[in-house]
Amino acid sequence: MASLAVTFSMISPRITAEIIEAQEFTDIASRYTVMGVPRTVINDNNDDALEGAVPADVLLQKILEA
Amino acid sequence: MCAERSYDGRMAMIKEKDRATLAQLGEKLTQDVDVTLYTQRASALAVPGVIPCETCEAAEDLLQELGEIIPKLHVTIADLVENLEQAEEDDVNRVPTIVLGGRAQRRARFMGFPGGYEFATFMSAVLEAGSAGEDVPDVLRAKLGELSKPVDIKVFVTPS
Repeated sequence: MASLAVTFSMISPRITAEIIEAQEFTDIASRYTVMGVPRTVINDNNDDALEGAVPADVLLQKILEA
Repeated sequence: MCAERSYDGRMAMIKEKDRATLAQLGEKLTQDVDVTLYTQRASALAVPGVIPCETCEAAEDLLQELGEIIPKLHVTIADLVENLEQAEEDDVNRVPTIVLGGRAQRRARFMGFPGGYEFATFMSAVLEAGSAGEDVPDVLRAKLGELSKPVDIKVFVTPS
């Protein structure tokens, strides 16, 4: 998921990608209720986060819906 | 990645046997990549309200070594407090944070120590940033190109 997010950020100048190490930034992780990894949050919409690894087209769909 | 002692007595972050592999990977880069590590230099004094950064020193050592192995990586170490203006431009307020240049154009970042199990994740991001990016299907590229609003993607990872 991490490298996919980075790849997306390289294709579109409108996308920013942040890979966050959850154990090091526990405050951020708890703000986004991280229980397992990878957890992908788009535009801070924590209620609609992606759990686990998903294919590129699924991430793309989420982004287009965001 | 376990540390082992190098010739100058400093603990090397990258094992000798991994260096050749990384150098080979580095040869795949088609463009230079600026890698900026925002860090907090160790202070002899405990400053009230400032949380000590436990992984900053290791992150600095690791990136310096990586920069020596892969010449196309241009590693900059920036103390967050001493480089507030640049940090603000990069929208960085935590350490350690690594901002990737190259094709990532400073829009991709890694927050936390990039070693251990996450080293592969970090390296794949670096390799992406330094590549031509032709491995992405055109359909995907076209759809992403149509984006009209800013999108922020946060991916949470752990070292184990």
